[in-house]
Amino acid sequence: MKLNGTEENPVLRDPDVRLMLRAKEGDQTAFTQLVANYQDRLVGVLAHMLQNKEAAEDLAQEVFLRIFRARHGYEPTAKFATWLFRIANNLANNLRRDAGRRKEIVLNVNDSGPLGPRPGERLIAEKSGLMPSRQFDKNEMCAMVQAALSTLNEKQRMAVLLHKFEEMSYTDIAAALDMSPAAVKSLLSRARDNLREKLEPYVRQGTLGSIQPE
Amino acid sequence: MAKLMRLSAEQRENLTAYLDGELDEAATHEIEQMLASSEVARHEVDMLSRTWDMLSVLPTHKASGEFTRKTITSLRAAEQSGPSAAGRAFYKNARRGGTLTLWAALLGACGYLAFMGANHWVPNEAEQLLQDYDIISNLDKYSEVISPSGRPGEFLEVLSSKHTFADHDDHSSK
Repeated sequence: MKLNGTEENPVLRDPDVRLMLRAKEGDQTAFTQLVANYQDRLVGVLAHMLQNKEAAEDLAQEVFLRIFRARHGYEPTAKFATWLFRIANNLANNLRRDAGRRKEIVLNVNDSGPLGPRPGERLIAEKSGLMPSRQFDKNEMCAMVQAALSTLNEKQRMAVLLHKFEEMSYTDIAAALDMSPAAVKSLLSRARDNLREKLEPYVRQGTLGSIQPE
Repeated sequence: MAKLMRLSAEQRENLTAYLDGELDEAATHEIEQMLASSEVARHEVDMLSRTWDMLSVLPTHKASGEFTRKTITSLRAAEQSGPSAAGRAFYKNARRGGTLTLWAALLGACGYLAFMGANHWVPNEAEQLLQDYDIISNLDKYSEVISPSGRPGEFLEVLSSKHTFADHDDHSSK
């Protein structure tokens, strides 16, 4: 359905959608502005997804390339950020699938199965077994939280990152991940339960919770 | 004991959505009533909230200083050097189709050559019989001809060696 005017098409209120429409008409400055607006956000999310900043930058560049090539056929049906992160999610999944086939990256799946605990779980178990009540420094805490995050599956992790760092609503996350809002609600609930399960022992003992992030 | 009753899956989901501000007014009111009466629910909300806040300690990764410039440069280079993704896809499919056509033509040519070769070198018994039809149809008469050696059919061999029948066939076909 084609809508004209911001009164009928609310996505046109998105300034980034308007920039993209200008890029569609050939305005290179507009596209450069979009890259500048989103580069940190995109690299930030992808770096947590891939746990590798270099790979995150490469992938972010690929995302912008895809958007640039699609500019002539661009039709604003959603917020620009939703579209951008949808592409990012798809490319990240493709990358991890290809890397998994080449056995270059150990994939973290939700069920460790008969192989035993995943590296993240092992880290948490080791830490709790060694000195469960000592104070952790910031680096250790960061590693622990990263390990807990890595125990989530791909969709859970992306949903958590988009919700936490991009402050996306359930509706926007649903559009980015090609799910229904009800499915996102369920997904995030399970993800947060999993995080709680991993981090609660440290919160209870007042160790993690006692260190304030800088 | 209602305070210690376990939460259902739906209630747990609604607790998360409540923390995220994603519930409508009616559902929010319901959750707040549950929190007021359920110790389990209050504990759940507390833990969910505090472990969620832990994510704030994660480092903030930023793009390198040259990222925008490098990205725009690579976009322009990609635009100038090669075809678009659609063009590349078309070229790839065209090349694949061309390869398949070439292989089909090659197989067809091999099949034709094999057929022609078989036709030329493999003797066709039916054709041989057709060529000898005149002789075969009069064989009973020829067998009555007695050759000097007494061997039956000898005179036919002599005539064949002199290509008498070949000449006859050539003349009759004209």
